[in-house]
Amino acid sequence: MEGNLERTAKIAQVGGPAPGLAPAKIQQGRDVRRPVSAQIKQRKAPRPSTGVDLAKPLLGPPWIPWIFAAKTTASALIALWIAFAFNLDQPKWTLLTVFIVAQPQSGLVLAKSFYRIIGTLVGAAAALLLVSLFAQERVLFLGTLAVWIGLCTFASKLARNFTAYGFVLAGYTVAIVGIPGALDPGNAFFIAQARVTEISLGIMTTAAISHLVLPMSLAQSLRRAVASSRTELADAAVALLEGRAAAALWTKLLGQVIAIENLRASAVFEDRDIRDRSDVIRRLGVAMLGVIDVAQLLGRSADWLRACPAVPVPGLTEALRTAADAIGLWRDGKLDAAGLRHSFVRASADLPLVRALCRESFVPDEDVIRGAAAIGYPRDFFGAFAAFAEAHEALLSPQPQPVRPARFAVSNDRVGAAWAGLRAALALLVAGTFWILTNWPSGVTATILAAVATARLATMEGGSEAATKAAFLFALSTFPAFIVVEVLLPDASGFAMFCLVVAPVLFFCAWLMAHTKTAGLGFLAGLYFASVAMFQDRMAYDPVGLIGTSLAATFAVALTAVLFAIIAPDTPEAARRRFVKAMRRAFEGIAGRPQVGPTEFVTSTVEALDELRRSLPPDRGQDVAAVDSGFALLGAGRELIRVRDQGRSRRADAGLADDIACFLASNERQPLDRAVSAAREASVKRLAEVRDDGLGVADARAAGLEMVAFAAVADELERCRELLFDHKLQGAPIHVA
Amino acid sequence: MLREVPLFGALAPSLLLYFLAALLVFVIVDRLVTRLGGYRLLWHPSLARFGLFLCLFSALVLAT
Repeated sequence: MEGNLERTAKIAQVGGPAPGLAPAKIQQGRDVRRPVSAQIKQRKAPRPSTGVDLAKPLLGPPWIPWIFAAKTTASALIALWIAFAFNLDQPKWTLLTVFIVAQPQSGLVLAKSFYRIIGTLVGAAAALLLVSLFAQERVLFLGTLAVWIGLCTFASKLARNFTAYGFVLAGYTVAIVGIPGALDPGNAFFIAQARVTEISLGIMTTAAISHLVLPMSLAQSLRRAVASSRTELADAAVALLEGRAAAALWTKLLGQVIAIENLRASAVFEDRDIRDRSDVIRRLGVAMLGVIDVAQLLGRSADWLRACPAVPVPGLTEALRTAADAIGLWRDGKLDAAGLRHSFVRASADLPLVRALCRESFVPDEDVIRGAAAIGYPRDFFGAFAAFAEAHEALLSPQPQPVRPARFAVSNDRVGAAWAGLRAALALLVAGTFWILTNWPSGVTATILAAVATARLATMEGGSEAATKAAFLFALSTFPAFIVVEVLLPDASGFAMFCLVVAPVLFFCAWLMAHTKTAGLGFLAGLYFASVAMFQDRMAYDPVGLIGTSLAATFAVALTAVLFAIIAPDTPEAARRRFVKAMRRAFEGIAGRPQVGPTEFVTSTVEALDELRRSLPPDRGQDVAAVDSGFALLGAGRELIRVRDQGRSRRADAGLADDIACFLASNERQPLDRAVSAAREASVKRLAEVRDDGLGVADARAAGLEMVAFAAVADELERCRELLFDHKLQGAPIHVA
Repeated sequence: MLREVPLFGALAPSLLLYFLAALLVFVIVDRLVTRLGGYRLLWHPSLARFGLFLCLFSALVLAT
């Protein structure tokens, strides 16, 4: 991804049209509204040399962390300045908000800000309600608070994207507002008002700065991602058709489909043009999944053909070469989607007929079926790729055409979300109980921070690792924070001097945040600095208070780490269990009612697969096998749905899907063996049907397709069995997914 | 400029009300300028929109 960004950016800086990049016309939303004729003229005319094209990044990717850090520092200081000028109660919440909201891409900030403000308002209202009900009873108050936070965390895990963020905020604003409010019920309303003001100020400042100064738009990232995935898909397809291995490329493309879908979901907030094309982008994702899926089957059948050249498949090599050339031309922009489809039709014409192959009586049945598959898969692949090319063209066309919206199913993990909710509720309860029992002066801070940390980290990846790191980090940063706040700041007079002292720390934290590896660390460091320093217009320097807050922060994060390690820990085993469960549900959906459609099945499975891939350490062979067998199951399910939708043999495929679901439920070999042999049998039966002369042309064709599909199911399941059972004792398998 | 405005019995900061009013005016003006294609003539449309909002907001505060 990084490399692509760099490449595209380089090309963009040189000024020429990038090979994979969208034409200039769709790069700026406002240009699209011009008449089509104007666009055609504009495309032919040379670009004006003066004037800045906002579609081009002003500075290249190496500068992004520095720009981001500078922007975040600037918005933090401006927000603090405004907070000081208006004499807000606790400007530290403003600073905290800036760090929570800051994201390298401006679109994310706008979307987040929207939900964040809504979440803040809801949370503040809930806090006021709780305070008015239970302010006298602290046990009851903390209990209901815990329940509320637990519910919000649960909802945030179930919801997607920024809705999730709104829920987390509704949860933790309750802690931020409610606990101080309950301690001082008479002023609860003013406290709520003050917190909402401070938080909103932080949100608005960050959004404004990030939108105005060197904006890095999400829509552009999306377009770049689409463009690079187009090129990469074409590269991978050419490699596949020419018989070169490119397994890693396909896996990467699968991740890109998910990335594009996530970018789309956020970019609709930012760009009207993207909003109009939202459905087209979804269709593109589905088409891409189709290509990736068939590519796996095609690759394996080509491997088999090379290993076993006994079956005559004349014309296959020529057909593949024709198709590869056409895809190459399409990639370089010399061929449009219609032309590509035309070339594919020509290439398919070179392929022999399945029926002719079936008549070859001196070849064993199994080889005939494989040969038929070797003919059928390229056809499927051509169809899928042409669909992708057409979807891509529809995306680039000046007028967005209405398309049938594709249904993206999401595989939700209710149990996991419930555990996360429980964890957040427990964090508040444990910290609150500790605070009440010990009468600890910094207990308020500890309780609030524990609730904030558990609720926020639940929606992030690798929460337990981040919390553990943060516990050490907080313990260590007491000293530097003490020096900055208690030694340097008292010597500063005026806002300029204040900036001089504070800016380097903020800049460093933000700079860490800009890098993916240190993002969590930087974020928590900024959070720590903001909550420990307690900036005020008239600073009251309190070294003991600083150490107390620092201790409270460390305690809160350590508690979070412990809770993450105890309650539903995020281990590879848990990830695998989650995945198996999601797959089982998907396969049950194939056989049962309500039936899942092919798109829903593929998207939900791919998402579950991507989640699995991300939560497994990359170096363990057994886990790689799990991901790879997941791929195999994906292929098997897709073929099963295809057979089901042909509608000729309802019994066979339903039984197969049941067997697979049974295997997933028990993780035993037997049902899988049964499914493999059933698929093989069904495939042989279809072969007999095809050979039978009594069948009409349409029926014979359908039977041929089913034969190939069942053979594919059997192949995929066999691969799955091989990966899961046969390699268990031998250690790492050779397959790398 | 008014200091605080009673709203359903609670005192709301007047700036908030000004902000909302300015937002309303801004949305109308923004739609108009977009339709007339005014933003196409500008180098940095979002900066211009931000400036426009700021002008409306300040004008509203100073006028009352």
